[in-house]
Amino acid sequence: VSTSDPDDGVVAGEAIEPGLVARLADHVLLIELDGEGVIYDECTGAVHLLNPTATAIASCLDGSSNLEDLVRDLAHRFSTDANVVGRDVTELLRSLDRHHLIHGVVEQTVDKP
Amino acid sequence: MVHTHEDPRSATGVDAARAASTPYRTASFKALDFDFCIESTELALRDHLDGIYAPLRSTQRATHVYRLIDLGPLPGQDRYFALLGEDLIVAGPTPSFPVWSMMWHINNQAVTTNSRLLLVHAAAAESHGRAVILPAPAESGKTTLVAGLVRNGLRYLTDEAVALRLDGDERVVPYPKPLTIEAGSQEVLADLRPEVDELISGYLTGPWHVSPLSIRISAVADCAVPRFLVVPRYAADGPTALSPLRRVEALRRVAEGTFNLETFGRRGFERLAQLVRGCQCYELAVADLERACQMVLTLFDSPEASS
Repeated sequence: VSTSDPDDGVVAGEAIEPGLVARLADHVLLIELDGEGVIYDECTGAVHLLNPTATAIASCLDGSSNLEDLVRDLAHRFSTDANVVGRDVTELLRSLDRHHLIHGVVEQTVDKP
Repeated sequence: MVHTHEDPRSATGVDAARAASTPYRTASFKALDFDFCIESTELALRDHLDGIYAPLRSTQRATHVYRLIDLGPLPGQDRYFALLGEDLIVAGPTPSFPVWSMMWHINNQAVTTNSRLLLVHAAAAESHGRAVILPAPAESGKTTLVAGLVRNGLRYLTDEAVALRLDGDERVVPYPKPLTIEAGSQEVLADLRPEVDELISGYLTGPWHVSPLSIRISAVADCAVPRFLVVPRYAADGPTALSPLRRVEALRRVAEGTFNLETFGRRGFERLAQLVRGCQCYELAVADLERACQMVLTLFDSPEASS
């Protein structure tokens, strides 16, 4: 497991690693009201509103699942095509990353000898 | 912001003001956690200030003493002064600006020196222990609406800062400062024009500072549980309309208008979320004050309001 360089962001580059394990940053608070989310950034004081889809995704960003598993679980939960969910997740992660609201680590595949 | 200035022109005047006798002293008051009293060279002005600050009266002796001084005619020198202790707040040739500046200063001190309560930029009124919170930036009609509501029977909590505790008590702490009614609202609230002794009318030009007790003797509320959050917006040309507001949007607006959210960080934000969760949330476009008031009053009568 390697920690991404915070200066580069956790989702720098075109593709996002399927092994990325993301979680909301320590200075971020996610509040859910009537199925919609509000993110409070304690560092900047900024408030970000999330639509219901983004809220469902963001509430799963707890550092326990990698991107691949996360997309599969959400697709199953909402009975939606995994490609569609994958695009939504990627878009949200990029947006959160732009605002420095997530931390991420990439699980490294270790080849067995 | 009021800038303290001690330019050479007024230095002599400031020294004279510091040395001046201010024999007329008000009662002690407490604006949130800020205690104060006011001394004046004018008896009638002292009586007037005693009246408009009466809802903030405190039994504890004030540690902050404001002083309003008229040095009399002095060619080439400022005549009227407002001081906090020895510190000059403002000096000028006319009597009204020092009084206005002192009142602004008191409110500013109440808000900025507070480290215990989360303060939302909002007006609020109460009925039967339930409060309506009216969060909005300056010039959005908060004071006008809350004055209208009090005139229609609700009780006054504040026209400036809704104070929230962070110790589990969900009730709003009253901050019943004088209502500041700007020139633009004086026509629709003409019946609230304060009675001012002619001797001191020069001190009190500009906005009206109205004691809620002058509207009704029982017009000041105790602590109240927030049940409605209504974001007012003055809409001169449109219809007066009350429409539901998403709670996330309400939370964003409240957070953006909280004076000291930075002090409390995520604890403060969670407290604001608790406030919004407990409220029915609306936007209110206000073209007709009386109609807007009736719309808010109707909320208190709805069956959901009592749950």
